[in-house]
Amino acid sequence: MRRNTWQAPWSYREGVIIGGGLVFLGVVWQVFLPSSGFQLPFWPGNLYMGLIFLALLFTLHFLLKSTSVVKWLASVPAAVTSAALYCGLAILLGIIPQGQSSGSPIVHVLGLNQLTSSWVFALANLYFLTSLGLATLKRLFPFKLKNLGYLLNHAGLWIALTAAALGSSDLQRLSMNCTEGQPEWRAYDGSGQLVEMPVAIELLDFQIDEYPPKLTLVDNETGRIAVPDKKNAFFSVADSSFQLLDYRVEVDRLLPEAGLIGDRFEPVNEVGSPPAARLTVTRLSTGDSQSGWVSSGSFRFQPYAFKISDQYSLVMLPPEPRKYQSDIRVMTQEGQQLTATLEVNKPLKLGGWKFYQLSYHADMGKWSDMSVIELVRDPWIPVVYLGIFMMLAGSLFLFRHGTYKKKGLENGLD
Amino acid sequence: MGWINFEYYAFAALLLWGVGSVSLYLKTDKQGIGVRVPALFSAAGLAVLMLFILLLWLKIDRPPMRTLGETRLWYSFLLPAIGLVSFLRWRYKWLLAYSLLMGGLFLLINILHPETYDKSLMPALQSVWFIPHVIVYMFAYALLAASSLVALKAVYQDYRGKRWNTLPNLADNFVYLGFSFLTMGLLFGALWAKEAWGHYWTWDPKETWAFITWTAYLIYIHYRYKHQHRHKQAMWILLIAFGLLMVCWFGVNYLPSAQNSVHTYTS
Ligand code: HEM
Repeated sequence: MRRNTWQAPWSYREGVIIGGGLVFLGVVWQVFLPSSGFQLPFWPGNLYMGLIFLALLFTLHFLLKSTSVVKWLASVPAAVTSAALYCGLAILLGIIPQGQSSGSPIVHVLGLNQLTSSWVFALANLYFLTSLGLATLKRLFPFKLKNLGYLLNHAGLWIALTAAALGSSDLQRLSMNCTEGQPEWRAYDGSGQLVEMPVAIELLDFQIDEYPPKLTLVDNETGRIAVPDKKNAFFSVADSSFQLLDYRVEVDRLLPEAGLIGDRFEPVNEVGSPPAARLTVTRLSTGDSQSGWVSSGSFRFQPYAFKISDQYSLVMLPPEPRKYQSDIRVMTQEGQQLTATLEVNKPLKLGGWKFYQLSYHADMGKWSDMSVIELVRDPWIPVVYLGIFMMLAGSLFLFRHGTYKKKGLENGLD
Repeated sequence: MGWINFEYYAFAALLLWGVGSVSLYLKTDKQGIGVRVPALFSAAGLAVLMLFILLLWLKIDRPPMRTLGETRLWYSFLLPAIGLVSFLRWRYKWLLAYSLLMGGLFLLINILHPETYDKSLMPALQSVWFIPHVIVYMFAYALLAASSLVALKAVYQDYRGKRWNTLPNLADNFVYLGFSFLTMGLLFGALWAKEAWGHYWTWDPKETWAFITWTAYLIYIHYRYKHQHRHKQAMWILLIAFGLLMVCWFGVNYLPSAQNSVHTYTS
């Protein structure tokens, strides 16, 4: 049976037209409205927005349920087209580098390099959440236990996405550069604006734990790694002895902190003393053997290579960090104090803020006396997590989808 | 040990799977033998591969889940494992044969493109979330790959004018299970990102492509639910979704947007 566009029941054609209309509207607003993109209000404005949106969805569901628009918004064709629109925007987001100025004026004018704060994105989000919200309400009233999996998935996603979107204006992510021995209370936001914090942080000690350094063979002429076989191009000094091309390499002595004295290294205890190793190299085809030193160098000292032939040299790579951590003291304005250790993946929670170990002075490596600490405040996170945990519970219901499908058939949905 | 003699394990597994695949299509009178022989050979190949994975894990002293080569290794284990389980359950010979072939292909790629067996694990990856996140994702990818094998078969049968009316149901079984794991992987990733990087979602290119893949399968599930008889369109949605999954897995590193991604660990 042929159906004219806009004649009930609506389906995909209407979805495509509405999606296209939203994109058009979004582009026009993006180009002609004075502010560049969509700006959410801060607390409590975003809360009111959320409540109004929720009230609107309830009104649509309870009072205008029988209109073809509302019926359609709660149906699969609206779900599919709105998800496809979201997916399409995400593809743009996944291809065009974000947050950088772009050479192309089109990208700039349409806000494609700041897509998540563009009008098109906001409208697509609204369409998606309206459809998802109405689809949820459709099965929420009257409540039936057999719909539990459906409700956990759909309500969970709605709650998580809505809270994440509304909460984005209240999210604060600041970073603070802390130097050992100097209390710091100035933090900077993503755009480099100074924010004065009500707490001060003093870096007591910054430590890095490193992996043993690696060795490789380079070509003297090109300076490139000379081992074509990628899987055996590097060896950790901890794995002695090993083979690189025709050479067997043994580590005779490893000095974690060494200084060059004449043509050999000795243990020293100075800032910036790099690791060094004494190696014995045997050429397997001839049996010739020789010894020499390598060192990775550091921000203060030159690397030291071991030239084993006209063609090749052995070199040591700078050690990679295994773990880094900051011992800090946090001081509030009221004079309270607290000490803690921050580590990657182990943040500290304090008064609505979370403190993260972010980075350090990478050039100085383990001698860095500066640690970058990130401070995050995200008051909406409990709501987002509620949604996430509902979805995690809901995902288990997908294991037994057979029941879903039979129900669909019985209800004659097609 | 470790990647150094991966070839031996890989060739042993390939050989066992090869024999298993051939035995699938040998004519026997006894029903039991026609199932048991291929199942045993496939299982033996899986055991060899699992042994290698465990030895590698011990050797490098960290879960072998960091590099692309390591994830391919899991994939070449999980895909035949799924093929074997569904063979035992539903007796789909072709599915076992294809999944052995795909698993074997991934082993070959690893033989041809070996990687350093590097012990270091950057601090952000040292988390309790690392293993559940990656394992759940690998499961999801393997199940969704199995669903695309079904879709490919369906499209091919359709093209040759043959019957394929049981295939979409099989694809659904894989997609529902795979999507469930995909959702868990995505959400575990978000919870982990909050602990490691301070925010659960930053539209980083890898995250963005994971989201794209997720919506594509979401569309499939809803389309199937509503239109139980438009099989052909559904199979095409499934193939497109798998294309997006491949971009998410391999392609992201090559996209212009990925230059400053925190998730691209090429080695
Ligand atoms: C976590 C993500 C999601 C999952 C796991 C999921 C899963 C499902 C499942 C399994 C069904 C079949 C229901 C049944 O058999 O009882 C369904 C139906 C449906 N879903 Fe979703 N879905 C998700 C997200 C969405 C989204 C984002 C939308 C809308 C934008 C949506 C809209 C719908 C609609 C309209 C139906 C049909 C309901 C009906 O006609 O009664 N879903 N979903």
